[in-house]
Amino acid sequence: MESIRKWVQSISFFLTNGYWGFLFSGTIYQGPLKVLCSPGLNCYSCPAATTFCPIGSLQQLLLGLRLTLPAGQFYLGAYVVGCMGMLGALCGRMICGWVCPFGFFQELLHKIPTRKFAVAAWLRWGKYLFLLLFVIVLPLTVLDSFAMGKPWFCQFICPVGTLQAGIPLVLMQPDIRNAVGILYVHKLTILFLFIVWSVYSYRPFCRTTCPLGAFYGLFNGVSLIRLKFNKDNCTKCGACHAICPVDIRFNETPNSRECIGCLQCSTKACQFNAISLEIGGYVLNSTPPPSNKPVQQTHSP
Amino acid sequence: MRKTPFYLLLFFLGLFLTGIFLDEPMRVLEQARIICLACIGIG
Repeated sequence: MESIRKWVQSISFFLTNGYWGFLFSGTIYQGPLKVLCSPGLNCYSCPAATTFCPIGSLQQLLLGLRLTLPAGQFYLGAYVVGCMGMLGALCGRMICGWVCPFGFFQELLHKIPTRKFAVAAWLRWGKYLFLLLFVIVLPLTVLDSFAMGKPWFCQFICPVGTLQAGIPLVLMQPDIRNAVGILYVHKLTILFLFIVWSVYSYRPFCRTTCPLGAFYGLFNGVSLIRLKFNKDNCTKCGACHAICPVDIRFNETPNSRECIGCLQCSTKACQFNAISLEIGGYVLNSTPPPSNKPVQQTHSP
Repeated sequence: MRKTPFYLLLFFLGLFLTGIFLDEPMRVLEQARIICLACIGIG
């Protein structure tokens, strides 16, 4: 299953970044496909990007929303939130685990052999703060002299934009290269920190900072496709705790907002069919537990 | 059969269609076709 997931992640990367003509044209893709929503966090200023980034687009719509000014725009972001919500209602954070290009990038970095560290549990609240504050509140309320807001998350935080768009465009376009300043250095520093952190910890950006992951996580308990816990089959052996890359104790919090649906607990760890994939209430691969169910034991971390 | 995901899908489909009615896809496309200098740390 893990190799299938890697294949899906690779294909998804090339689908959302399918315009390799930029190597000859020297600029970004400008075709009609960009009206489609990228399921994962994928900067639409990336020269190869063929879809729009929901977090970037939402900020761009909100920063111009001024209901009281004649010059204001009246785009509420319904189209973008509708796209994000349908994806979330369909499969929750499985999108993070299966199709997000930046999540895939962090996973590859984490394969570099070093000592590994857990991400502190309290840091997971950061992504909700970024979603609420940097994506919604600040773009709406902090205005410049032209009564326009800023895309705060993109401008000051997002390392995806720096990696996918900032670096290639600065290399390709001399005009942009000449405009590089302190903000670019700040964003390069954030990207560098997340790259180093990804080597030592599993998906630190997804778990602490990603506003899209925070949004999708809200659907984990109610999405059409989700993991289902069968309490009767569980032996409390702790195998699912040990294998979970995002440090979830699945049998204690089966609908955790942190779960990215990688399915390792279901396919690699649990021997007793206590964890299965459920689609709209129908459980896949549900079989009775083996008759030699062992005595319950508690996993000690 | 769980009904909640279908209600959610219908709700967000409604939002999606509202956005289309308000011509938001064209605005999104306009934005996505230009390089967002702020997004790449310039400007």
